[in-house]
Amino acid sequence: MTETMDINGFTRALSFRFLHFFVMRQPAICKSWGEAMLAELSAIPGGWDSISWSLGGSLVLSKNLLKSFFLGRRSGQAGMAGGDLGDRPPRAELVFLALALCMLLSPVFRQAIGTSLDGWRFPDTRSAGAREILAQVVKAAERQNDADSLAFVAIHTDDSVKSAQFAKRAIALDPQLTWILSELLVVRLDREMPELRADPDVRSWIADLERWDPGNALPYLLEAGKAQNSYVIAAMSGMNDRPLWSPDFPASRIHLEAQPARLAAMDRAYSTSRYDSYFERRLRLDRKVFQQSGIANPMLLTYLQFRDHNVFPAVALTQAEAYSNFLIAEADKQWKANNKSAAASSYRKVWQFGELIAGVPAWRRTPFEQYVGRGILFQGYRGMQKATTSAAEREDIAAMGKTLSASGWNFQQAEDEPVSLRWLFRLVEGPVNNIGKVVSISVAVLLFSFAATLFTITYFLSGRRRGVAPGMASRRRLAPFMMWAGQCASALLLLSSGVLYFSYLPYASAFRNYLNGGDPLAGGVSMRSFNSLAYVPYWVMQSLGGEAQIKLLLWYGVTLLAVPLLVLFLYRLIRSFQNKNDIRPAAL
Amino acid sequence: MPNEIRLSPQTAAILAALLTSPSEWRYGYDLSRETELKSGTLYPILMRLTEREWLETRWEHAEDNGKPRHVYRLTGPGRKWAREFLSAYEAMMAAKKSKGRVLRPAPSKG
Repeated sequence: MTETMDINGFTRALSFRFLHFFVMRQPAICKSWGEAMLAELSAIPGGWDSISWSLGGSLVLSKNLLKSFFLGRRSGQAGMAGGDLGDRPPRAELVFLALALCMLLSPVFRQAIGTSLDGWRFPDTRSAGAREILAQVVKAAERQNDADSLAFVAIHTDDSVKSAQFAKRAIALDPQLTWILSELLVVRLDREMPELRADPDVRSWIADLERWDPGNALPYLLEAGKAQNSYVIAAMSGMNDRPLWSPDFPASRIHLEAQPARLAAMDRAYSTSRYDSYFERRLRLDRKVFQQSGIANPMLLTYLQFRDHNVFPAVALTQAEAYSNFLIAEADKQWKANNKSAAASSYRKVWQFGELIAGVPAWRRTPFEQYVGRGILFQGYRGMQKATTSAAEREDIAAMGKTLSASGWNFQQAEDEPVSLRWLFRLVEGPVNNIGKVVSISVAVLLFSFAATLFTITYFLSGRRRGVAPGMASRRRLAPFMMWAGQCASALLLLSSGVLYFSYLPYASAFRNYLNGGDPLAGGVSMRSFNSLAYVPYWVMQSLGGEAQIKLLLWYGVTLLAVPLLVLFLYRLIRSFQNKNDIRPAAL
Repeated sequence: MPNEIRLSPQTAAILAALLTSPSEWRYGYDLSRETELKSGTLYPILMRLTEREWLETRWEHAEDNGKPRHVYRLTGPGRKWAREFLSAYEAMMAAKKSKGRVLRPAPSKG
């Protein structure tokens, strides 16, 4: 008995303190109602009854507190009296929502939302949004017969037949666009191998490219790639039931001696004085067409330009690497055979070709070119260190080493660590990505609060139209919570919209500068930084174990919120339609 | 402009409780027990009725422990309105029952 009394006394005291907290924070005009609720606690025996009383009262009071905070003191008592669900329009929520929607008038804000959402939609050239944009460019290109647009479509379309047709038309209009054949060749040569079928276009395109740019190593490396494909396809005939790289298959990469055509092409490449993968031309073309077509979609541009950044142009560079290995192996044999001058010549040849690739300015080369170029350079450097016979040569080599060290090249890293990986890690670190995190989080919060605000407003507006069906009481009990949730969500919406706008400003500026001809990789926020908006920050990725997971979670979260909203909306729509025919009681 | 009062079952329950002995002052907790409404539902309705001057309130000392408590009673016009409200509510419920549909009440003129 005493124990029961103690529990009752304790719960009553707790309830009193809890309710008292809210009463003390009420505007003067409503305080007496809070005190009335508080006074009743003295008559409630305690236990759950007093807790329930206190909770109910505190919800009414907190709702009023929020309302007076957002709408001013004048709303005080009216706000309390309007506590029954649907009796008061959600003015604060509407104001916040309207202000947030006004931000949509800003192109920067629209771009910020679109950019972040593009990241969640797994943007690629096969996605619906990207296809739609490319289709617009195709239409414009066909209508205007514009060489640049045709070249752009030729590079980025997935349809190989159309790609060839567009490329042909573009080059016919402007022969200076012949370089686009290298883009098509990289794709076609890659496709030949798994399909084990020779592509008839490839040979003529390589010939065209070699004629157009004879001093460039790239066409010859592509030719070597074609020669390797032909060798493999021929060797594989009659072996269709075996995997391509089965142990009994002649290892085409190693047996270069058996592929004279490939060796000849490689040698021609190593004899040139220039290496250009036309990467910078591609960036310029994309940028120009985006500007011409008025496509304000940095994520798509970033994707189109950097999607194969880490492996471009793989077909050509693997040939360069293979020939470098071949030359080094040959030079080592010569070195052992005491033919030191021939060995030194080969080492130097490798070194020089490595310099051709790695020496391309950073903004004109891909990370893969940098990686392969440095690898080849290092192979040549190491050989030359060994092959030096005179003091003068040793001095030359030492000077090369110093030059390389001064330019920040770390040979040990070049040998041990994939450069492309380090480049990737740098992308997701540093101050730029802190802004990226803010943008990502803001968008997540924005979406969530937008959905929550709409949900609450719909709930309240539908409540105003609601009849008095029994069983609604339980829903009405949710009213204070819904009102509180709605006000918080709408305030959050406005706040996150503002944060999104301001945190995205540097990105918008980077995109604008880039379209106007700026360096895509310069500045704190560069075009590469957009990747950090599209992809989940590295630290989140690590903690969740995969970038796709959080994207899906966010997507599911928003979708789950949107589904009840839609259901509620449709239900109310149907009800309001039915109610038109209902009998109404006489006005009171 | 006071808020509209809808034909809600909660409001009807409170008015019915207040009309059982209209001249008697009632405590909030008693009304809550009688109508089985929680404080979060009861008080907004009491406030709305007071705002329209259909309910009068005052503080009085409780008989058992002498502590001040808030008490409520319908005013004269309030009683008249409450009876009209309950009639309209019952009519609406009856119509709903016969048609099997939920009705939307007409706005009150309060």
